[in-house]
Order: sequence, then structure tokens, then C-alpha cells
Amino acid sequence: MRRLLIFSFIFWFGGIGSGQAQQELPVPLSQGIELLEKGEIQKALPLLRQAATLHPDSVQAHNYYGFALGRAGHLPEAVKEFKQALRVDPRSAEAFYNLGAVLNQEGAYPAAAGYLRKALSLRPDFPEADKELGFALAQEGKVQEAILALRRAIRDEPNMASAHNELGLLYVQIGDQEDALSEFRQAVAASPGSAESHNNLGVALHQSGDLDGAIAEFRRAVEINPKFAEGLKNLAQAVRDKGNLNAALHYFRQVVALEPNSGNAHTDLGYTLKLSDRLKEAEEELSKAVKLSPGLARAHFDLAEVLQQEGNSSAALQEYRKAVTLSPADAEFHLKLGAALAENQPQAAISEFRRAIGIDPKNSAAHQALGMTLRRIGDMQGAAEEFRRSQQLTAESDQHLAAVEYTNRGIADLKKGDLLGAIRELQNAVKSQPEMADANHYLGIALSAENRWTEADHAFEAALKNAPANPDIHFNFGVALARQGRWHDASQQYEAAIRLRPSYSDAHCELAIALSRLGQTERSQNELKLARELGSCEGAGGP
Amino acid sequence: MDRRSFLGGLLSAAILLPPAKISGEKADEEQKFPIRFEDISTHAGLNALTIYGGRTTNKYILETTGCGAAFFDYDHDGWLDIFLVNGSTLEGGIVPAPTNHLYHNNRNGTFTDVTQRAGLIHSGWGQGICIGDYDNDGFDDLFVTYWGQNVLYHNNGDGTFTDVTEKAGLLQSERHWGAGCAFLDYDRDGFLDLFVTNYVDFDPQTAPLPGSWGCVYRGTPVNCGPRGLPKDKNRLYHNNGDGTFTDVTEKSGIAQAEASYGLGVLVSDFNNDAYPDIYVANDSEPSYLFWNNKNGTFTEGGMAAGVATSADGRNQSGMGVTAGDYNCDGWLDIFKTNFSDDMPNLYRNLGKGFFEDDVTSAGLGIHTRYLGWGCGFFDPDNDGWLDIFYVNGHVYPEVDRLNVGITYREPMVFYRNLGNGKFRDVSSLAGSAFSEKIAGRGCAFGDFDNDGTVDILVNPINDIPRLLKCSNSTGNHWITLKLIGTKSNHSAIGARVRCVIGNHQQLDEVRSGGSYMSQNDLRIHFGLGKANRIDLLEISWPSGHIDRMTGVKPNQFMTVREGQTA
Repeated sequence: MRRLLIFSFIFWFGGIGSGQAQQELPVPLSQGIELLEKGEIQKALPLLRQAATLHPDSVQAHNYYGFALGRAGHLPEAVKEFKQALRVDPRSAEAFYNLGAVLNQEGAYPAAAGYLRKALSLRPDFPEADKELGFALAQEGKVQEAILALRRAIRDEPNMASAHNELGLLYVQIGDQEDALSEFRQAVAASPGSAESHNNLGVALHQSGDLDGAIAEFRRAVEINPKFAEGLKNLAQAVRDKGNLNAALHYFRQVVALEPNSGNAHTDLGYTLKLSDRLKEAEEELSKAVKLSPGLARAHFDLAEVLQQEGNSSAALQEYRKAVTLSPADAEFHLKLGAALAENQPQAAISEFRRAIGIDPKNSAAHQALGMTLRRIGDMQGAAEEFRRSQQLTAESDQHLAAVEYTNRGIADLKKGDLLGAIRELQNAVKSQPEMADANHYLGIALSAENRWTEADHAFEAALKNAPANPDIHFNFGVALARQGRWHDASQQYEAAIRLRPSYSDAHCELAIALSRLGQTERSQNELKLARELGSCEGAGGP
Repeated sequence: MDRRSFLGGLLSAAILLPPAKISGEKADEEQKFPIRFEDISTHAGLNALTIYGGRTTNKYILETTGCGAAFFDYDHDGWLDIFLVNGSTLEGGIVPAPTNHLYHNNRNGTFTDVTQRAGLIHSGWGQGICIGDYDNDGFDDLFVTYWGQNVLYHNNGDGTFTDVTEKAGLLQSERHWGAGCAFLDYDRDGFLDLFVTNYVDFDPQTAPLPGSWGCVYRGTPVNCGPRGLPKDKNRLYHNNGDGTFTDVTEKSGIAQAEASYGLGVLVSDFNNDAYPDIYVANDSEPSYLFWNNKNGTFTEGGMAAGVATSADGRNQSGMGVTAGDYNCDGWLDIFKTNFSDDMPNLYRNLGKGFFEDDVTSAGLGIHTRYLGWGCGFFDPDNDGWLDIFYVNGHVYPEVDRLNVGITYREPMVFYRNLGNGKFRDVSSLAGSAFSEKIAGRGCAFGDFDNDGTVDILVNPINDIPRLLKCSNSTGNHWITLKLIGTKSNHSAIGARVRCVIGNHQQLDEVRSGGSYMSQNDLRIHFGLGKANRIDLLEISWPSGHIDRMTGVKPNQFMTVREGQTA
């Protein structure tokens, strides 16, 4: 199980260089700041409290005291101090920023966004505030606005690793792997000593299929911080995917050492021991996992698998049952429970197989297993039907595989510029699986490059019929329509792409052009502005 | 770091004693273990390399499948000779070109290469081997499968063979990838017919290259297939009784089964109806069981029988396959090897055409990392219960460079039958042969030195063969039967023998082909434990005739002619 680290890196802004004239600071404040800079928060707190009490009209005193409170984990008290700072100076962009940042920390995102916007209205070139605003907006689900805020932060402060990381995470969220990777790389370049940045880049590389690259990044992350459990887990999983079970065991053991009471950690270790055929040790770890986390379905399931492999069917059955009870929507759990029941309790097994099929109707193994069990109880007709379905699904899977292969070949031809070769391969793909969106999509691209408009339109329409939520298909269809001079139709496709991915900068750019052709100048200008803010249409002179 | 060294590190010297004791116990057990297999191939003179594809990298799947091995007595001197199929390389240019090898048994633990004298020099992408006296002239003939054109060799009875492929009507109009093969008398007319599996419809001109089409293993580009490559159909050839064959694939119903990726083939009577059925281990797809309809046709029913997939319905990548009545219940069971990250199958025959995969409950699910090939039920300790042996080896030589703990060469595995439906892995106790790793493919079983214990012949790729001599100190008794058909086919293929001692009943058949594209000794061997007599030996011949012998003495090689007890 991989996961991206969502971390809110708060840039605590204490007030130095905040626009106020430098003047001699009161003694407790200067001493408190000195301790803060050394990281001695607890020692700094009483001095800063004293400064804020002795100098109630000092914005700096309240800001620094609030900062120290926040660092010490006293978030509500920090909020009070920042609000106090604002009472002293209602135009303190820094106080608004600090308040927004600490509210982000508290999870009060709408309020945080409000204060951060005020900070930005007072001081527009405030990249830290834009970064925090981007984070708050992202948490609110306002993806496009979040991207714009983060891009502003990066424009003003290109080396802000946290902004690159946040933007990368947002791109991951909207399925834009390429841009995500780019942002994570920039985060690493900006902050090469950040374990989290290396980890995030590693996750993105792993997801994009670059296993070796991912492993290198995870290794770097845990070199930087050997106690970074998430990094170790990701590294362990990546080396396990690579097939290096011994190395995976080594890292999972480190995770267990860091998190001895984590059922997940013991489950990961146990599962990897199982893959290594070290069944007794696997059983031991998984037994610990289910004790520590009795509600962890995966631990029960993996323990069941190990027990089954060891030939201990009755104990396995109990664990399969627990896994199914805890996670009733997992088809695989029902399938395996059914298989464990099949010999002695065929009717119960049949129920489990049917549940698996109910959850995952295209699971050919479940149909096959159901067929075998129906046959066992003498329902030959039912069995035959399940076998037929299983075979049909296998055939469909073969056809899909062939279609994928033809599509990949078509894409390779497209990259080489061999349009006719690409069209031939992609047509084969569509023949193998007419409803395959990718094949139709790329076929549309290839055909439109050959100006075979009718066929291209047909291919794009077929692609969208099966993948109406794919913004790239809408975008490319829009481009094809624009090339035919069908500006209205093109603009509709661009708008659909933008609805699906609000940060789709190229779509905004192309939409601006289409709207301009349609005479909708104002909307066109708005789209062009948006496109440029998102990083597209830089060279365009405007509609 | 493993658990033991972790504890040792924590508790210092005091903890070191128990492991030493464990180790001593293991050494004791090993010393006392009565079965040992030692590789004597070099001493025996089996020094010719089996060449097959690339050594460090493979471009095509063609380079992965390797070759079969055979024990058979070509000159009828009562001693098993050896035939080893050989392959080729994409580059070619090896001088002399790799050829199959026939080794004559010198009866002293050594063999002499008689390939040239026998007229068996032949190069190409050799695959499988099966034996049977197709023309009933008293000498066992050879059929060798190839990517290209399969070859039927007629045994001339004078130590030489003649390629009669064309004369026998077995020339193919187009190239196929012949894999497993078996002679069988499916219509019980007394003449051996021939079944051949075809693996992939492979054409190097169009086959994708490593790394394309998602052909990546653990992040490394590897050869593609079989998924995604064109499939092929199995072939059944009917023996016309005049030295020729007719392709009856369509007529017999074999063609009704969808094309697939067939490798190992096993012919046995799985429903005890006296007609041979055919099991095909398909790679990546459901395996097939062709039930003999007793009218010259077959019906595929692997799924309904429960032998097509794993117990939970998953498709597996079948490689080798063997049959044996491991639980002595009178029904022949099936053991099949599969790809890595999976278990083999132990399909227990429930009778009535149904099987149950007992691989885990039998204790055979403990190795999932090995990629299995040749396999066999056999009884090297002569205790009357069939044990299991199989060879392993990865298909991607590239894994050695990944440095991830997976190796191209893998150890062999030996499970001992505990007599209660369960098996125990005794590989580490059974001799030096099991400490070696090889790129195993074909393997065959037979008592080459006629000492009453069954030995093993392994044909690894890009390596010399392994001849694993079995030493048995159990003192258990045995009997080996050479069957000769008179009304039935001369090789007695398909003849079924029941060996009864008290209430313990064993069952076996004379079988052509099997394992992974290999041929076992056609003689039937039974371990008898400490019994001093066999209560009943019952031979059911393909002709329908039954010979019965009672009070048979153990520890003998017995030749039985069909009808001799009538």
C-alpha cells in the first residue's frame, strides 16, 4: 500500500522583515527570539509571554509569542495571540498570514483561506501566503483556485519546495502524472535535504512505472531521515515490487522497530515473509498483527492465506471469515473464503462465490470456482453456465490484452511520426475491443493528423462514449474540431475538458482562441488570463 | 537479517547453543534419512551440453522452454538407455550444431554416446520426446517435437533409427511449435496413435521484442509471451495400422477446444473406464482434460472436472504434469507444476470425473517462489506410497542481474509421501543433488542401474544433464514389470496394473510422454515395503484382456506378455 504524504508545512512567520522598521527590541522579546531560533521553544515561551504582556501594543511580541505557542502545539492559544496582533495592527499582513497558517493547522480551511486572502490583499507579493492559501483551497476541494495560488507562490519564490510539493500532490489528485512528477522534481531540487520531498517524488515515480527511480528516491529519503517510517514503508514496498524480498524484509523490519504496535507494519512484514515462503515467521508476524489490530481485515486475510498454505485449513477458515466480516465489500476475500469452504460446506461456498461475483461481476475466477462447486452439488446446468461465463470473461480479457498491445504499438508509431502505421495498429485495437476508449482516442488523433475528419470524429465520439470523464479526449477532440473550423463544437469540448480538470491550462488557452473566433472577446480574454496564470499560452499574443 | 541471527545478536553467546543443537539434529536426520540422490552424470559420461537459447538474456519466448529427456531401452537389452533432446540458439553458428543425444547404457553406471551410429544426429529447436512402438515390430520408436517440424524415428531394431516423418504422413504444411507428445491407443485398436501439444504460433518476424508490449519483469525488459502471442491447437494423429498416421484433430473433437498454449501432456484413464483420457497443461490459461468418449472422439471437460485452474478458479501457467495414485484409492491423481509465485496443483481424483486440488492440505503449497517444470510421482523409498519430485528454473536469465534474490537456476524439490494424504519436503535431507541449483526443464524417471530403486534424469538448459542416482537403505522390497502387448500395442502403453498387498492397493499405467515433454521408463515399478509377497498383480491390457498373478515374489524384474496367465 503506497500513499502520498499530505503534509502541511507551515512557514511560521515571526515578524522579522515584516515591513516594520527595525528598532531595538525589548529584552525579553529579543531573548525569546534568540531561543526560538535555536529551537528551544519551551525556554522561549515564558520570555515571549512576558514580552507580549509587557508590550501589549507590540505586533511583533504577539506574533512571536503566537508562533512559539503554535510550535509547542498550543494552537487555540496561538490563534488568540495572532488575533491580538491584528487588534493592534489590523493591516498586519504577517498576522493575517500567521492566523491563516495556524487555522490550516487546525483544519479550519475556509477561515484560514479568508485570513490568507486578507494577507495577500495587504501584501500581494507574499508567496508563503499564496502557498498556505493553495493548501487551504486544495483541502476545500477548490482545485483550480488552489493550483493558481500555488503557481503564484512558485512564481514569486521558485525555490519554495513546499509549494512544489503541494502542487505536485494536487496534480496527482487530478490524475496529471506528468506535471506532478515535474513539481516533485522541482521540490527535490529546491530542498535536496528534505526526506518528504524525496519520498513524494518516489511515490510519483512508482506510480508512473519507474520502479528503479522510485527506489532511488525512497533510499535517499531514508538516508536523510532513517526514522522516516513512511519512507521506509514505501522503500520496502518498492523493492518488494522489484522482487527483492530480502531487502523488503529488511526495511519492513525497520518499520516494525519504529512502529512496534502497528498492526499494519506487522501485516506488511508478515505478508512479505509469506511471499518469501517463510511461512512460520509469516504466521508469527500476522498473528501479532491481528492481536494489535483486530479490526484490520487485511491482516486476517493474509494470516488465513498463510495458514491455508501451511495446510491448516480450519484455522484458515476462521481468519477468512473474520476478514470477510470486517471487509464485506472485498470480492477477493469472499472468493478465498468460498474456496476454503468448498470441500466441506459447498452451499456456504456457493453463497460466498455469489457475493464475490455480486461485487465484481467480471471476476472470471469467481465464476469458475462457483461452477466447480455447483458441479459438486450436482447442479450441472448452473455449473455449465458459470464455466461459460468464466470462459467468456477470459476471452474478453484476451481481447482487451490484444487491444492494449495494438494501442501501445499505435502510440509508438504515432511518436515516430508513422501515421499510417499508427492508424493500422489502432484500427486493429478497435477491432479487438471496439469500446476501448484509449484505442479510439489515439485513432482519432492519428486520423485527424491525416485530415480524415469523418473517421476521426467517429473515433473521438466512440472514445467519449466509453470514457466521457476523460478530459484529454475532450481536449483532443476539440483540437480536431477547431482544425475543421468548427469553433462552436470545439469550444464545447474544451469546456467539457475544463469542467473535468479545471486546471487544464492548454484547454483554457485553446478555448480562449475558439471563443475569440466566435467573437466572444471578453470570455476569451478571461480564459487567456487564466491559461497564462496556469502556465499555458505564454507565447500567445492574445485572441 | 533473519530471525535467528537477530536473536543471536541480542542474547549473545548463550543463545548460540540451541541453533547448534538444531543443526546437529538436522545432520542426524539427514544421516539417517534412507534416500539419497547423487548426481553421477559426469562419471556416467553424460557430458554433452544441452544448448538452448541465450545464457544471459533471451530475446524470444522460443529460447525459454528447453528440452525433454527420456529413459528407454532402445536395444531391448534390459537396461535403460538415455535420449536427450537438444535445442539451438538464435545466433546459430555453433560447430558442430547441437544435436539430440542417444546414450547407450554400458551396464556399469556409464553410458556411451551412440547418436551418430544410431542415425539420430538432428539439429533444431528440439522440445519434447515420447516413446512407443507405433508399428508393433517389437522395438520402441521415438517421436521428437520441434519448433518447426516434428520428427518420427523408426527403431530399426539394429541400433539404428530412420526418420520416417514424411512416410508416416506426419509432415506439417506449416510451422508449428510442437511441445509435449504422447503415444496412446485411444480407440484401442492395438495401434498407437499420437497426441501433440502445440505451444505458441510463434514467428520471430512478428514477435514483439523484450520491453515492448509491456514485456517487463520486475522492471527489467524480458522476452514476451505467451500471453499476447497467437495460440495454437493440439493435434491428434490416428495410426492407420500401416505405418502411417491421419490427422484426426477435427474428427476426434480435439479441435473443439479453443486454441491455447499447450505444454505438458499426460495420458491416463482418469475415470477408470478403460479408455485413455488426455490432460494438457496449458500455460497462462485453463488446462484441458479431454475425456475419451469411447467412440473415437473426445470432449474437453477440464473446468467441470476441476482440473483447469486453481481451487479458487485462477488460471495458472501449467508446465509439467504427472499422474499417480498417491493416496492408493484406486483413482489416478494429477500433479502439475506451474509458474513462479504460485503453487503446483495436486488434483485428487474423487472418481465420477471430479477432482479436488489438495495442494495446500497435502502440504505441497510451501514453495511458491520456484518455477516448476518436469515432475513425477515415483516411489524411490519403495514404501508403497508415491513421492513427488520436480525440477525448477526461471524463464528469464535476466533475473540474475536484478540481484533481488530470485535466481535463474533453482533447486530441485523432493516431497515424501507420509501415507496419510500429506507430504513432507525432504529435499534438504535427500542428498547432495538437492543442494545444487539448475535451470531445470525436462526430467524422466527410471531405474537405469537395475538396482530396484528409481533414478532421475534431468535435462537442464545450457548445461550438462543430471543423472541422479538413488541410493535406498530402507531395505524395502520392490517389483518392476516389463509389459509386452500381443493383442494390444507391443509397448503395452495404456496397460494398467494393480498391485495388492493385504489391504494396500497400488495402481499405475504404462505411459508414453508425461512429466515436462519427457519419457519415463516404460516399465512399471512398485515399492512393496517389507512385504515378502504380492497378493495380486492384475494387468488390464488396452485390448480388454486381464492377466492376474498371485503370490508374486518381490525384488525382481518380471516380464509379462499379454495373455500369458490365461
